[in-house]
Amino acid sequence: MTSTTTATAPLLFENLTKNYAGQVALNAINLKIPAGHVVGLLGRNGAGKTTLLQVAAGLVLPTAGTCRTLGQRSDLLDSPELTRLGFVMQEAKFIEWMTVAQHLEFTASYYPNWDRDLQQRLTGILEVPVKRKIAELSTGDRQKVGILLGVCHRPALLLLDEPMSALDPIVRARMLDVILERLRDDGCTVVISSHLLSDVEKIVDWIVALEAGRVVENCALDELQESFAEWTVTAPDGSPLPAFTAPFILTQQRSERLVRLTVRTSEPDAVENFAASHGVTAQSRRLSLDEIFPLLLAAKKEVR
Amino acid sequence: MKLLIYLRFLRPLRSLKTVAFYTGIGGWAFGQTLFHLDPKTAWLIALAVALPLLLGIFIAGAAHEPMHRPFALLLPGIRERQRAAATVSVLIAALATTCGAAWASPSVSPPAIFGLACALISFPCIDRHQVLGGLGSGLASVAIWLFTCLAVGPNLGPTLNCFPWIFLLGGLAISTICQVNGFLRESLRSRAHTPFIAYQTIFCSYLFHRGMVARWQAEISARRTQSRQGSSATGRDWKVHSVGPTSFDWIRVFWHANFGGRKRGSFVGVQMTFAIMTLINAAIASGIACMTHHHQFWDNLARLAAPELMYGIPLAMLQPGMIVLCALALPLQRLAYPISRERLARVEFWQITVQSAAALVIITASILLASLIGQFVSGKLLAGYGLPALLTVDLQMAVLLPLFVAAGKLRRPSFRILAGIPIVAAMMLTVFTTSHWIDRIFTLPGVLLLLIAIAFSQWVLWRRLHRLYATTDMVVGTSFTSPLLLGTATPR
Repeated sequence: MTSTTTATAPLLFENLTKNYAGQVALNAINLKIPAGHVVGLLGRNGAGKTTLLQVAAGLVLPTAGTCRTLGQRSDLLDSPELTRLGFVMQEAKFIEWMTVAQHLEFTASYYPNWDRDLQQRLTGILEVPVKRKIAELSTGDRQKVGILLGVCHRPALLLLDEPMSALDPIVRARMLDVILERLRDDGCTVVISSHLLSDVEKIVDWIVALEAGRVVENCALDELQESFAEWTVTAPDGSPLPAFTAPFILTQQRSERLVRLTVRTSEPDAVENFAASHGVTAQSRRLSLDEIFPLLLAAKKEVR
Repeated sequence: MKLLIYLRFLRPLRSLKTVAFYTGIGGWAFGQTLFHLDPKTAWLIALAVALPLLLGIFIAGAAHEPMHRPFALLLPGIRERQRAAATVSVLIAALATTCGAAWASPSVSPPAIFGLACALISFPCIDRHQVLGGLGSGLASVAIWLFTCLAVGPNLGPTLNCFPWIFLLGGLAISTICQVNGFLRESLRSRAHTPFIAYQTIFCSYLFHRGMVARWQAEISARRTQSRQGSSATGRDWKVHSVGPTSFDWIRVFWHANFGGRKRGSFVGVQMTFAIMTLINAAIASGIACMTHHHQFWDNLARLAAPELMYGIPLAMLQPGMIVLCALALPLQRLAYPISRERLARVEFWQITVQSAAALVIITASILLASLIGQFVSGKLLAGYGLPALLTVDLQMAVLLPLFVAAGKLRRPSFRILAGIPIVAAMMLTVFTTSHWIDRIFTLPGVLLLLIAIAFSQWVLWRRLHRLYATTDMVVGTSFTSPLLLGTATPR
């Protein structure tokens, strides 16, 4: 994401560090997220995803470095930027005594461009119980309310922190449709942090992976998926296969007649060259994000 | 639409009812009976000081409440809008106050009252609700009102008349400063991370939505524990390998659940805190009685244990009031323990019994200690050093306290109120009629009757808990106000 200029990047982190009581949550993050992309923010528990999004939304102040959100320093966000920013929190704390409808009305009153038609439609799609008090809602319903509050003002930058963790598969699918629709209609930038990688994979076009507060991967999803593959290797005569060694081989799983290799390489003809050089037949399969994620972190851990 | 939303936070009807009630109490009950002010002065202080302070607490509560959630940092222009709403409310309330005070005291300068009202109504806006469980502005308002009653008193009217324009301009300046300070950008960040619910909301929620209040208390307690100890603090280790079979073994488990999350604090520590609070309250009550009745401080302190009702309600109600507060100090954390509902009921019963017994002993001993100091310093010794009178109240409280707790465990809010009111009335009656009972109680039939009554009230409490635990959902913790004040609620 280096081709985009600072001016058009809705999110820009420069040497951003955040410490909590002596523990490093984010460590010198340098990251630029350009407009119009859907970015998947991946990482294990405690990797710093939530902190990164909270810093971007101005909820948490950086210990060092800066974060610019929609062109403004995140600690100085004010009405011009906040009207264009949407944030769906993992565990939002609402005003418990209000009904959902009252809370929506309350939040809508702060946004000049609140889309009541969209609110109406999403309320139906996500099956939000608008007449119930927030205090009485289940975790899933609270998450739905959080989504409504985050998207109905049609933000230019939408930050989603585990927005679907408590939703059932049907509502999750509808939620993904909503995000896709928003992208089609408004072309907004979305940063989504989620452990549900199979869902994330359907909508994101860029991946940022964090591990222990550092960015360990920052590339297009296609590029990432093209570089990882699983090769099924067999000997033409059915004879036992030797152990393979090559720098791009990440793991190998052996059975009686075949070996499964997981590899990371950017060479376009790598599988053909490998088969030719070892005198074997090899078939390549593209890996899903779910399969890539552990390999990605394991590879980075070895490098460090 | 925006006005309607603000009114939803302000809850005008509920706020006005509460304000009117406390202004009436301040003007009549306390101003005239406790502080012996003449009716005109008492009403002027009530309308020009107590009323604006109360209005300010409710207005600031409504303006601040939406800012005390993390999402407030994301709402565009929230500070400006809440400040505008507060400013308009302050002006309307100050005008209404001026009309009321001018009607009650036509000789006092209206511009001066208006200035004073603006300053006092705006004063609670500076409260960031970070300390004392968010009760800071409420306690400061009581202090201002007490100071006006005790130190200014009848001079308030003449002082206002002497410097009307200074009061007007000074009041408006203070009002502006308070409102600017209360809605600063810097303060929004600290507010957003500290939960606060306005008084007008919490009043009824205590009775009708306990689950909501329990969650709020847990949240605020967690925040306080975290800010005191740091986020990486680990609390204490549980060193018992296996819990024994008796209910008292499980009481230890629950005490650990209450105190284990903190470095300091224990069951004994809570009792000591209440003992110290009782001594401080005894000194304050004696001091106030000293100022209003012109008696010696040590005489007043000595008379805390006197059977006759001497100086009105606050002094006399110290013993039952503190006993009730102390008895409700420890909540039972309904966590996932591997014991049956029956056992949980039994554990809670014994925990309440232990805590109630401790409250009866500790509070009575503290009042006796304060009284003894007063008696020896003043040289005016009471019959039996005042012990019989204190024990009379104590024994009657031993009957009423389990009934009070049992009433609080009723499922329906309306039943809780209906059952609680007569018990509270009976508690007050015990104090007012101490001298009547003192000779009757320490006889064989009196002691027998008391023992039967105590056994009966304990049985009522046991039946209630047994029934409650057989039918209740085990997902919401029980809690009262004191874990909030003491910070003993364990964050979950």
